[in-house]
Amino acid sequence: MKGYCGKLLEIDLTNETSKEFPLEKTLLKKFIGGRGLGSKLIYDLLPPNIDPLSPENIMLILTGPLTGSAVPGSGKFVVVTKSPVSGGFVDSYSSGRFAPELKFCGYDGLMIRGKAKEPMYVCLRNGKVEFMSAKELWGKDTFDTEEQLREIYGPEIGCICIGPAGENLVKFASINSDFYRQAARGGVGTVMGSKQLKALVALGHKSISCHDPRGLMELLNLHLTKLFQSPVAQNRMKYGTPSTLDVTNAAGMLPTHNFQSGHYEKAKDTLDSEGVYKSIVKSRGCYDCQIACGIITRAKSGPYEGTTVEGPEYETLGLFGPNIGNSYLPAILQANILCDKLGIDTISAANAIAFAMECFERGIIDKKQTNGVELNFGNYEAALDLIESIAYREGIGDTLAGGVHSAAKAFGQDSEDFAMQVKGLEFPAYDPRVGYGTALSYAVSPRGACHRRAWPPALEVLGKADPYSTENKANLVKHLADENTVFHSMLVCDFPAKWIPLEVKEYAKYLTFVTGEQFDEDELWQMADRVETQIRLFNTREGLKRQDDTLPGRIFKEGVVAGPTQGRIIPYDALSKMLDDYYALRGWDKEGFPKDDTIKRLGLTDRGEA
Amino acid sequence: MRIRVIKSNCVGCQACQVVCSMAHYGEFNPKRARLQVPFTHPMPSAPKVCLQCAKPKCVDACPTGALTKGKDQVYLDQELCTGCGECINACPFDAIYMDPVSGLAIKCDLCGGDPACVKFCKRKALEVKE
Repeated sequence: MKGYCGKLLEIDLTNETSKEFPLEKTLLKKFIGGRGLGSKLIYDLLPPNIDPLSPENIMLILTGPLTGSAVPGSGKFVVVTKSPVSGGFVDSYSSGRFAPELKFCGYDGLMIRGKAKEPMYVCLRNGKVEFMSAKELWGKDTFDTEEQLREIYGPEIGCICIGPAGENLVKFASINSDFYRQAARGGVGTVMGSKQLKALVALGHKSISCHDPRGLMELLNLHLTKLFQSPVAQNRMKYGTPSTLDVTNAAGMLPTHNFQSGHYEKAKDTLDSEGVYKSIVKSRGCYDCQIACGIITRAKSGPYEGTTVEGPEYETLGLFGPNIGNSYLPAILQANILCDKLGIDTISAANAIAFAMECFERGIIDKKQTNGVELNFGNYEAALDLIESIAYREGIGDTLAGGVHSAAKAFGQDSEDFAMQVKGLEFPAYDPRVGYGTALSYAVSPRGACHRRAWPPALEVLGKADPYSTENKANLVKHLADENTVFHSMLVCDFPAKWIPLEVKEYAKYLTFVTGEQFDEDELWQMADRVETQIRLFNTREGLKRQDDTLPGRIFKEGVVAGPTQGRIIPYDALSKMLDDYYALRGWDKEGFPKDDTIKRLGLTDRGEA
Repeated sequence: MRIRVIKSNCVGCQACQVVCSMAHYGEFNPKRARLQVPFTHPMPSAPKVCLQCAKPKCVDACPTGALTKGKDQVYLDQELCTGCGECINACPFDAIYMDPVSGLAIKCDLCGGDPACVKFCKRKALEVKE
């Protein structure tokens, strides 16, 4: 099929060998690419119950049929592996030149096995695979690493790497790409670190052909024109994703003081869209994305004067802002670049710090543990120091490096109730007490608390669905999650699609223009349903159960402290009812195991049978 | 006639490169594009594209006569190009390139007067200057 290379490169780090891994057309038609293909391959290829940080774990880095084409947001790749955070499936995305370069090298993706004997990086250039010593790069931050690799191989390479946090097996280590972009959630950088794989370089000259270029370009021009007329897109072009903070603050879902409150008065003119706008110096687009929601900001005065970073993205802003009680934007810029350089997920890192601050204020930990530091909310200097302590696993940073779930076990005293995580993965910057559907989406997201699977606030906050009702919520979450699965399998950024807005049927046309195979909308919706059950089969095989589809105690028991959602909780019974509904819609039993007839209906098979 | 780059409008996304390769070869391969966006950070760079110089150094440097100065643009005859790279060394603007597939020089030909990149860039970072 056009659009695909038809093969992965299988890399064995232990033996320093590589070979082609062909992808059959029937497999690609059923699972498309990206998340979909990853769900099938990891289930079939990974033996059950292995330690995610052992050499047996497999790291898949995948693209999709639209990667590298002119469709906006097509410069993305996904890392699929067994998560050291949840013990289940994780798929973590980033953008950058690495994604199209993989296809220019002639591969739809990489399958990385084993563990290097000593620090290594792998370079793919014009059909050659080289296993290189990374002894000199080990210990370096991601920026130094990438600078050095671009110096050796040329500025135009695709390059991904880990920082010290990945080397030190921090549970929320990220994989960096083009300096400022990260596949950060669920410990994918940790898995890369466990393999002693410091970096991957790709540079290729092959072309990506498509079946009907004229049809593709005509549709694309139409959509681009619509995209530039879209008010949402225009807002993103000007402000980047930080303008989301205006909405979340007004709706009472902006996490404040470790999700105690959902509203932050001090955000006005400091962290809201106009506040951040004053620090923007330029927009920066991902590969082939003219929207360019990436903003470059610079601290113009104060202790962090001169700090320049692509960011902060909304999540970083919300979580290193109100959630740690901080309204000083330059400190957020500094936190952002520190996390990028050290190779840490900003979402999980900020959650870990907010959790430690709450533990300190409650007397669960004291100055003995914090090395004499008054770790109160608002102490951004301490937060910045903690980022480094986490990356290098020093002092209390060593405990926090395991994530809030494991830190709560270490600290005890019911701190688990306010360790804001699902399946070990820390909350993104939306308080789920804003609506029952939002709560359900966090609980059932296969990789843990996540806003990138389904984002019900789009409907619950903007008035299209009653936020405090269980009615139709399972359906809503399933629909939103399936829609994203389509985008994340093709693999394109879902932002342009949502801003135009475009429906799945439009993307079915793209897929047909590129591959030459007929895809219709129904097939894609069914593919998404199939993929969700495939992932569920993986998670249940690895021991995840219904009781893991839940939320921390705070969400069930403590009302939001202030703002429009004041006093709101998510009743446990409401979540339980929605879980029943959701499982039924998916064709899973009461305990969340896919039923035999569902497996059959979706054309799935047991492990080992391709 | 030439393509003018308005740097302040450019976000460095390479969409112009992607569409250039499509316009010339019917496939996606930004390394075959006749304009290239250098990778820089944190600030992105704008594309470099042939200025269609009045006194083109590339024409002087070309040993085979493949490059010629026309009335209002510089022409490259691929039939005469040997891929020696002298034009690339001579261009002071880094705006003529080597096609990694054919091994021959490539440069902006203005798509015969209606450049695909200019039409595709909705950021309006590219325009045709008569």
